[in-house]
Amino acid sequence: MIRKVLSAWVSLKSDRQGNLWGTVLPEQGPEVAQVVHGQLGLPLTMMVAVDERAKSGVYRLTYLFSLIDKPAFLALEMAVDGQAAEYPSWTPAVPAANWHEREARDLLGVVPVGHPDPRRLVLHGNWPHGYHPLRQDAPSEVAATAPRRFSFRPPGEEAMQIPVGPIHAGIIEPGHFRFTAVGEQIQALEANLFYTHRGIEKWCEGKPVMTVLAAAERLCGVCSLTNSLAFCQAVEAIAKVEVPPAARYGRVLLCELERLYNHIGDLGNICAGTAVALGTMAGTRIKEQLQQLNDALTGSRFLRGILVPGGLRRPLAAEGIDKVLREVRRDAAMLADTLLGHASFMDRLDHTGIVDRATAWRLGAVGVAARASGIDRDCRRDHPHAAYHELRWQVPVHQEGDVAARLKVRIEEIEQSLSLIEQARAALLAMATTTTTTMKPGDWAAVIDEYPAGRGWGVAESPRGETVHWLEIDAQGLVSRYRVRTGSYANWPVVVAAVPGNMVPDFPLINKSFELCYACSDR
Amino acid sequence: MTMELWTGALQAVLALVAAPLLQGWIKWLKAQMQGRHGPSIWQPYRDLFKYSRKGEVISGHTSWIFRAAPVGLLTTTVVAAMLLPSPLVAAALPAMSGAAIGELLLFVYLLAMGRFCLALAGLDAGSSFGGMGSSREMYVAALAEPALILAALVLMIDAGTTNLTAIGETVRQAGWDWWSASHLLAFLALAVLVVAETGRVPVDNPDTHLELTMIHEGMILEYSGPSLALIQLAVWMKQWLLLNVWLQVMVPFGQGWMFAGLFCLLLALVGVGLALVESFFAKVRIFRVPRMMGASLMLGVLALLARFVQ
Repeated sequence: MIRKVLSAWVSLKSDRQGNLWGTVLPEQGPEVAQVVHGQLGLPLTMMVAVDERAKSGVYRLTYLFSLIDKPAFLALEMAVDGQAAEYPSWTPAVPAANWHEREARDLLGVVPVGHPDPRRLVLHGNWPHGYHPLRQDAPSEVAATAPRRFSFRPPGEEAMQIPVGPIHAGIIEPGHFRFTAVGEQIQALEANLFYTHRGIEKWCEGKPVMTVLAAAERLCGVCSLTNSLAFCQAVEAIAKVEVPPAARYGRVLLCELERLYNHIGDLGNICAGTAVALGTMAGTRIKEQLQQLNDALTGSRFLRGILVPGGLRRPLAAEGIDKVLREVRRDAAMLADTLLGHASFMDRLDHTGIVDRATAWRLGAVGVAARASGIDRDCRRDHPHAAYHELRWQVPVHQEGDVAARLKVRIEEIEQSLSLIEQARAALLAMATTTTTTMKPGDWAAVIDEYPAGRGWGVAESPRGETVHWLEIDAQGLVSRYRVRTGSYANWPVVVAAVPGNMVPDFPLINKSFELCYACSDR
Repeated sequence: MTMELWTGALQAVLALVAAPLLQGWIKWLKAQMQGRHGPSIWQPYRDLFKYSRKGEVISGHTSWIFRAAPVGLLTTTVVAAMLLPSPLVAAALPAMSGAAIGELLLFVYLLAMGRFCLALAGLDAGSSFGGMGSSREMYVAALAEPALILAALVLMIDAGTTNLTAIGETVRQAGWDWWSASHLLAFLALAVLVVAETGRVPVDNPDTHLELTMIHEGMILEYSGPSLALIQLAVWMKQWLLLNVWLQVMVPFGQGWMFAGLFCLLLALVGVGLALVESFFAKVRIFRVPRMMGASLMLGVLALLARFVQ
């Protein structure tokens, strides 16, 4: 079907995993984008640009779309001339490409012509003009120039601008929000993020895979495990490795533990946005309990250092976790019941920060944000990995798209996570007792002797949504290009769209209902 | 007149000294209800001491108003405290009882003047948070004031005076007969207003760090050091005074230490009530505040009607 529709522009080839690959001519890009996204309805997963001028004189851009009826992806490649470094922008046809194309322009200097918002994104005004760090010939050191101001759109008549941040009162990361408000009514919001660009992707170039794994785990605090899982899966896809069952179930268990502590903490955070201190404290307490469990299980409160390409670094001693999880199940259910039955609390949440389905779809919302707006997508189910397809669970979806819907999706996902953990734990225990009395290293990790050259990607569902890691390994077995698109990165534009029409004091509440991460943008 | 001044001075000193304790008590209770250890009830005193020793950062965009406002606020609050008779002072110095000036309307508008100072200061630095705080504070104040005056009017009519000492005397003589249907409605109306005027949930959240949601905290966001100490002290005094007034128009306190003790006990209980509301309620949308104030106003109207029907 896809092959036939696209045959006028590209001939598609499928690879071993069922992914479809094709090469698009730059001038036909917008047309193809229109067909793929508008007509076939495929959502954009990520776009990655690579500087291949030394080899073939071009920048290679790959647009990765999710095939909605199959677990695989559609990868459309495009060679952009290295001299001109311009191509017609896909963003008018695929709005979700907005940030990806601007990021590629800032970091590699490939200009999307006809992009509706040509302002800088990743590199703020104090980066020298014409300096693109991800170009292979970019100097490693460069002096900062005098800061140039980000040009926010001017407010209209009688409107007032409220600047918030980049330094905030709470202990959170930097981000500037510019509200245009009339009285308490917000008319428009612009977010300027990317304040602390760390150059992690540049740093990873030329580094061994295991070093990059350590960097992947430290991209952000709260989704460490999902990031390392997506990275490991990208390596496994390139190395064509099968992960043993014990590791696959172990990964499910760990991934759900991460979701659990995040979601429960987020229930508390939503309470903080409405001044229900009781809920905030309960959320914080249960989250702490879970992070201590993470620590006991893996030696890291953030579940770091446990995954390796091929499986797990060591077997999980999952027997003892059920006592804590029983308490968590009881307390989380009590917190959820209290909140859902709390009239003055729910009054604040209903009809606040509505994202309708069309907007969520257009902007490429993922994760809780998408599922609360009626988009039934969850890459744990749609792009099966680890042992998710062998377990019984459901994807909760709500239609309303408001803060209350996002709260409800989280509450239902907490139940699903607890069930998944229970199933994964049972499976692990069964394996430990029936198959082998003493597990051998090969039972929890496939051995990868060397990393073959190639490119691939891994997806995993973080508490914030679908996270994709794109990885390219060169002939020496070193990483030559690495790009990460986390759930937060995909959802920030959705937050911005959710706010107009609400009142100023509701912004923290709306923001917390998405609970996105800034560090995920500041790679 | 000298007598009245001395009584007033004692009342003000009492408010200055005891107000942080009431604040500490409410905070401690809230912490207990939320399952936290929480700071000790003496923490507000330590905070004041800490602020007073710190340096101050004053924005270059401010005028003299910014520096004068904390003094203006504290002064009006202290003067208001001088007007308000206190069962504790009456118990300690029976000879002086009845000597308080106790003008209720003056008391209410002195507090309003303090609020005016603070709202000006919020605007003075030109930051958007201060401006939003001031605008919201005035919005709430404009709604609370008529409700407050109406509810107070019912009590003033029955006492035949606007003097708090005289109202207190009437309450004492009436005993529990004072709790008529019309007065109960007025007490209820005043209770809603006390929550609003002390800047507590569901109208405002005193514990938040979210600038965009702040009302009172938004206005004082630019303050630090000794100025902040003055403002905090004044705000805690206002809370002490409002709860004092509310109890005194409601409960027939006699003279003597027994009643002084009862007064302290009731004050502590009201603190429990405030902490309960603060822990278990969500803050309402700011556009719902008029409904709350409207409810209070209606209670006042009903109280007035009930009084004339009786």
